[in-house]
Amino acid sequence: MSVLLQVEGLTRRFGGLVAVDALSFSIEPGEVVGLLGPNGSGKTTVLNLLSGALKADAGSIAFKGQSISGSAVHTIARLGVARTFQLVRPLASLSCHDNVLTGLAFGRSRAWGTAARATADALLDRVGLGRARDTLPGELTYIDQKRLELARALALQPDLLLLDEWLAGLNPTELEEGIALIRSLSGQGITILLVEHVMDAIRSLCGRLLVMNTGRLIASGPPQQVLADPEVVRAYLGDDGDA
Amino acid sequence: MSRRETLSILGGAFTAAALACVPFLFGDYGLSLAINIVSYAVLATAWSLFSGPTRYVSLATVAFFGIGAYTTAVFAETLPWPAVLAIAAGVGVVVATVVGLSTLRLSGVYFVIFSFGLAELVRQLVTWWEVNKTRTLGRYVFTDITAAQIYWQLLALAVLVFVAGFLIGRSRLGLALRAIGDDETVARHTGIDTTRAKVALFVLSTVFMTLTGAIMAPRWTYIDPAIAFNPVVSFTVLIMALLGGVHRLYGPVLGVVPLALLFEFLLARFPNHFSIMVGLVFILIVYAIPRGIAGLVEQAVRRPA
Repeated sequence: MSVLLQVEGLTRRFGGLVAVDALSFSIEPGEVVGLLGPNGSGKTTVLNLLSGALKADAGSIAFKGQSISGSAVHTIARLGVARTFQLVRPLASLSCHDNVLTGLAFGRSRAWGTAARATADALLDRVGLGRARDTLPGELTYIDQKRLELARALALQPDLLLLDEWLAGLNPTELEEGIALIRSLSGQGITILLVEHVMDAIRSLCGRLLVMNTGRLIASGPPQQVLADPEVVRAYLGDDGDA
Repeated sequence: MSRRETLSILGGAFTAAALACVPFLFGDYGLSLAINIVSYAVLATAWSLFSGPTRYVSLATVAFFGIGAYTTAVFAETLPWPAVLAIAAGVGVVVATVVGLSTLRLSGVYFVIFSFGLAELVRQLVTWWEVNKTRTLGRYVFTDITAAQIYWQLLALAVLVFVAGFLIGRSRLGLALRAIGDDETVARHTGIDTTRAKVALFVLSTVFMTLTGAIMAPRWTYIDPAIAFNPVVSFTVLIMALLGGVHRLYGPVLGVVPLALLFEFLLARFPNHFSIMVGLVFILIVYAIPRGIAGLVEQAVRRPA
């Protein structure tokens, strides 16, 4: 299998606004791909379309050779697409352990009972939350809530992990830890698509970048090349004439 | 199984055994009060089984209760009693599945309004049918079921609803429902088929309501749609469950007992002002104890004075 995710002509409108405009790209297994673009360029909409939270107006999405455009969110999750949210969304009344358990109980592993509980603990350890097993998410710091959300996503045993600005808002130490964590997930064989603004993270993690502007793909390729692309610079900073 | 769970099972079994003796110990009035309390205990616990974790506030309780009561009125004289109960449960399942599949996509206040409308709709349908097809508007329910037998059936149903609640709380479904109550979008993203989980629990919860109606019907001797589908039942169940606390299985019962006694008192003393007083009680409960008596109990246990 050479392609994990194949997106063709993906389009989504909100009223008169075309948030995602005939977007096509593909991701191969094991890649770490960064999805970049100025605010409002449609990155989060793309993630919502991939996870099934939004339905596309046109175009197709195939995951592991199987069409998932139009599939229910839970079906896509069980196929192995997990995500985190731009603004963290832990399940507030469930302990950290139970938050992770949801992914195990309803994801592809369908695990339950003692084995599932042990796996949930292991996943919490993995993201550095082992000590907070019985804590409610509301009592965690922001970074820890982000870790929790990641553990919950990992509980689905995903092939493809969608991270929506997971590294945003972290201090330099936390950022380093976060980058190391994502790298270790990639090393474990999980393919990652991350929406991100933190350039250090993008440079050190991503093998390839996709850049969007006003719903369209304007560049794709290795980080050095894409970040030097005049059109990308223009999208972020405006024309020379404007300056 | 933890020690606490073993203790609650033993406590529950002991309570049920003790309550089964009520018909031998108290007179007719005591028994009728006990029937009232146990029937509301089943309704309120069944209500919060679904509405507690999912936070879908349903005012359709009486729709199912009334369906059960009417099933008894129609079939009690011609069919053996277990068959009547089976038909009631079957009709409840069918109606709840149809309603669940078509409405549980609604959320918040839309679901509340729909559920209230549903009860009215069923009542109007039954009225229309009775007036135009069977040419009666009331039915007599003649059975040889005694008050004590009604009480024991309700008690058995109460045990069942608690066992069901206990098992769900430990199951995958229970976890799914709590996740749905917290954040439905996230729940879907963790692989939960939210529609299926909600419909399954809605059906289970309403079957208990339907059976309560079927078991209670012989108490009245005469029923018509206004009696069987009285919306006050839905509101009463809601108030009781909220007063007791919906986030614990034993919570609703804590609300049922004091309120059933209070309503009994108000009905006897202030029959004409009953609705106003119930309204005031409702407002007071929502403002003063939003997490219910169960919440107060837990708070007290966690922070001993």
